[in-house]
Amino acid sequence: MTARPDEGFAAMLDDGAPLQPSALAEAFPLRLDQPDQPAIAAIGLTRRYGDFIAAQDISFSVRPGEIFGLLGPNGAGKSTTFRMLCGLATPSAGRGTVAGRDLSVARAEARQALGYMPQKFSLYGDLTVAANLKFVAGAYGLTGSAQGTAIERVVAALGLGPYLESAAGLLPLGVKQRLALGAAVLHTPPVLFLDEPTSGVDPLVRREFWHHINAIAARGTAVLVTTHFMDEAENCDRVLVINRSQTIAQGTPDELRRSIPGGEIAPSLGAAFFSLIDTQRRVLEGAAA
Amino acid sequence: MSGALVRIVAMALKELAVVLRDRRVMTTLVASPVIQLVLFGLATTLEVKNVSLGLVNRDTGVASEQFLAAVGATRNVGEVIVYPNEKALGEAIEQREVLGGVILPPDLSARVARGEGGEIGLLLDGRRVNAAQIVTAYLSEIAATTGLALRPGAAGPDLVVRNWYNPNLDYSWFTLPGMIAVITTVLVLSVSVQAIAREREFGTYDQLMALPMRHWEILLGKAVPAFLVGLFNGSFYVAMVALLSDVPFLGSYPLIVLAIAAFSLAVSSIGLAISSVAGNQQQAFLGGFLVIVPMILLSGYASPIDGMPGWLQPIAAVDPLSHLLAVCHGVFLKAMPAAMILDHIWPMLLVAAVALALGHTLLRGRSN
Repeated sequence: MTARPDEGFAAMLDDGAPLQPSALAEAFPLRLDQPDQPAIAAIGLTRRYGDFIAAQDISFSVRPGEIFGLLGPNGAGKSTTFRMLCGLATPSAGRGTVAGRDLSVARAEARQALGYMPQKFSLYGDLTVAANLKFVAGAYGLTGSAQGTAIERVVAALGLGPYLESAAGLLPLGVKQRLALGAAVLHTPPVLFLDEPTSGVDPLVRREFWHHINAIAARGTAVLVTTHFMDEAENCDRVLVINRSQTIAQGTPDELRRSIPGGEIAPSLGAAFFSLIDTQRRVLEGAAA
Repeated sequence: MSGALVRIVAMALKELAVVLRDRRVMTTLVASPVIQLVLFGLATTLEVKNVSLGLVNRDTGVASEQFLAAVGATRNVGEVIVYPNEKALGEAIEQREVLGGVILPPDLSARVARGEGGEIGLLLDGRRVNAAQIVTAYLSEIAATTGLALRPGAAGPDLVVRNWYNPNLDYSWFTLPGMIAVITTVLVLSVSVQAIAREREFGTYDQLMALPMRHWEILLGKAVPAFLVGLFNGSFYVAMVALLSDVPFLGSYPLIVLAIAAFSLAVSSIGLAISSVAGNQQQAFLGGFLVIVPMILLSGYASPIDGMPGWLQPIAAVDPLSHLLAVCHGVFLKAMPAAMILDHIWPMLLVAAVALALGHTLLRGRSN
């Protein structure tokens, strides 16, 4: 396991206390026996809405244990790509697989293999934290003592104990996000989809989140994460940059820094990101002229 | 337990928790239907009681005296107001002071005495069609009895009327069992129609779609609360009417509960089909309204199905409310046999199956 820079930005705001090993990750079975079998695969994914193309010919694959980032400005097509891969949108062309299951033919089986944390809190605001977790656990087929164990585990690991009987809609944002993450990992899935998991939460919660995400990935779960935080993108093993519905670069953060035109190395991933977007703009304008 | 069953149970429990947590829902579900049952059961009656009638009396003989005494004795007529002439009576009808007026000609008693048969004028307010027709029937009967009393043997053959199942034609015997079915419809539809629309409105639908639930599992799980509401409330009203009102309960309680169960399933399925296409709760509510009005109008609750045009009658036959109404009236007033009740149950189950299949198609269509 490689060391991840999950201390980075947060260390300065940190109270200094070291994080305990993630109890959330410990329940995940080790899934590193088939490192070459892609856990997530996008093969020419395209989505059209009438004349508008929201995502065009997006291809990539994510190995077990890899954290893969979708990076791009708002409206670039990363959410559309993300939604096609977790079965929330049907591709107009191309296909996607999750844990080896094709989303177009085995949608329910693919969903069983993935955990999904939406960008906006989407659990039931009227229900208590406990009732929400029970529902999601049941939806994943967990019953009886297996259900109880899974719920106790995420409640303890994410500090949800004091909120169990509170209505989920009234929780502070950081707690809501922890609940959403907890709901996504109840069934210890081989694939985890996180849509801007840390937008709107404070740096301490972000640090805690990445601590869990890194530990879960280390067990062999593939993580697909969308973000527009550059320091979060640095945390990913590989990144796909999307702009104007197209892939403009793909690789490790290091490779992206080296890929900018002119043969230089960008000083930061942010600088590389802007340079790549600028290049695409000039190419498209050149083609139109 | 199989996976599908686990997921359906999880969905059903979650839906029940959502419905039961909302205090307003509980008020709607328990308190208001009881009030409605009492109020509507007593108020929606076609009987005409205590109407005011006008009178222009030019006859001073025994016939008018007897006729007016009989009119005064019936509970249908409240007040008889005397007017000097037809013009004054006409104005009174125009002003809605009276529903109609009786005009007794000067030669009434004399003609009756001669055996020629008298004539009584009756002027009615046609704007109130129903009440006018009913009052006409009452007054004709009084006129006939009065004539018979004055000249026995003059009348034609006697009509001996026996009303089966409701000997005194007590209107509440008809309305109260019917009201059970109507209120159950409103409740089940209002719960089921929100089930999927609520998720869309609150943005929880995406999370739901990312879970490994099949569309049919979602539909079945979501049908449970509305079904239970219908079953519980329907059975409760039947018990309430049977125990607290003077409507006789001659049939079998388990059989009527079985019919209520089939009915609740059918109406829940219709509500879910509407909810499958509704984008928010407001649309769902309007969609429900669009269905509930024809359901009640075509059910035979307000007007008999036999009186509808021929092409409308098959539509009435697939209205689950028409079947539950038949069972309610049958079980209360005449110990309807099990075989006949089953004849009403299977069409309701058929409607449930068709509506669920439709809801499934619509839900799947909207998800893509």
